[in-house]
Amino acid sequence: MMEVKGFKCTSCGFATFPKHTRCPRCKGKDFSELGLNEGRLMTYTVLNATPPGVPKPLQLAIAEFEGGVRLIGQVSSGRPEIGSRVRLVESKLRETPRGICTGFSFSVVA
Amino acid sequence: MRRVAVIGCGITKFGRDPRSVVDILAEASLAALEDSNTSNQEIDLVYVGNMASGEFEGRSGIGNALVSELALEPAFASKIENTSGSGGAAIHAGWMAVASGQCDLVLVAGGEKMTSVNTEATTDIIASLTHPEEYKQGATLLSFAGLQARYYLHKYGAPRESLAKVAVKNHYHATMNPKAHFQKIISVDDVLRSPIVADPLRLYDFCPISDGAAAVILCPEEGARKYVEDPVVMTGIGGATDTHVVHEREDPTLMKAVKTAAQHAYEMSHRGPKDIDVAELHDMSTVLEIVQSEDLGFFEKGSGWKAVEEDTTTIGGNLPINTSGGLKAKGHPIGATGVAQVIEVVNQLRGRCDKRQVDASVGLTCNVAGFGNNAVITVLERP
Repeated sequence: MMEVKGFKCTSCGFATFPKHTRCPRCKGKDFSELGLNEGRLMTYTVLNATPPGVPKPLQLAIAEFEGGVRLIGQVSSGRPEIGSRVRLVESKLRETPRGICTGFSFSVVA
Repeated sequence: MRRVAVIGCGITKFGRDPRSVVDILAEASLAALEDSNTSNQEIDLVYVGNMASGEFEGRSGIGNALVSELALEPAFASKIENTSGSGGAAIHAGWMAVASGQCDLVLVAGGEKMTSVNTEATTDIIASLTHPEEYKQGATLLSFAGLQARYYLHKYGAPRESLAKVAVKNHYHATMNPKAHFQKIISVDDVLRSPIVADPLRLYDFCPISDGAAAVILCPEEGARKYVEDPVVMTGIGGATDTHVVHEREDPTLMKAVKTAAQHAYEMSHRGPKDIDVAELHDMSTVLEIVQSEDLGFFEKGSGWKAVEEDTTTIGGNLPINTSGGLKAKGHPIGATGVAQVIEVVNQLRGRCDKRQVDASVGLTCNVAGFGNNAVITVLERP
């Protein structure tokens, strides 16, 4: 399990990931952190053509989390379906010339 | 503000081209100068739409290089980069230069040399336009199309075959366009049996990787007939952006940049979606042509797929879309596309499209950057 931080605008309450310099809704500049843990899968794809350093096939999905925050992420375990519940886990994501890149991925809750 | 006319067009054969991007641009530009009878005139300004000459070929300063190839000094020149909307952005900038009264003759060229690197490297060069948090996950433009397609099919109950039909239609159109990359009829079965790329999308749902260039000459409408008998007027143009991060968009099937840019172009031209007789849309993937046909107001949201199934958007239908073959079959040399779209509509309005000619007096182009991060729309008319 892994918690990802979303960013909630302290002026209007709109939350996003990743963080922006200004809030997309009200242009506010101050944010509080919002813990993201569990979400629902909106859409997914399975890629057979992946960029360098990413093994194929790659399952990639968009899911909606606490506070309406959406994330794009790799599905590292389970079979994705629209509406599936997903949890965030830490994974190796891709190899780059600067080393191995790790971060969150989605694990489908059975 | 002055009204702007397109008086000349030039385009190379899209596909694998052994030459460097500057040489490809020079061929298209020279053809545009000759088509507009401005070969011996002084050109004020040269804009070159190109995304990644540095990454593909290790070349920079290609605007200046092009000027020198064509002996257009001392025209001011600059490259304009807006990812897959680079051509449209160059058109937008060229239009502004003429409309504002600053320039009287402008060359706008767009081009890309892509086959100098392999497919994996090309995909990665293009993926550099994504947000680092998207890139890190392995997201590419192909994957965004796959995510959008699945959501669209699910939300609107559209059959998978309707997406394949876009590819079939655009391949058919391309067989009548000698400049198109592909010259081959395909069937719905061919699309559905091609290898999966970004499920539910398959190889034939995507545009190929092509080299090519396209160029137009712009001047004020007043005086355009000094050069040619059949100028086409750009009566409306609009550019707009949407969120950079794709997953932040409220509705993954709505391309807000397209919608907003179209509103601007419609307002300026005093035209609406019902006035459009022919259109070139940015079908990097089949699903995108359908989504854009809705966001431009041609069809209601969620019903664009029906228009494809009913042949409304095929040559011979009420609103032919992508008569050139589109990005899908004509090809998508990134920086060339926005200019090539304008050329197809101008040629339709000038009656120069031979076998693929349709009856049209008002046309529209829709060039999209990134995955809907930015869009440029033009409305073109016979004066």
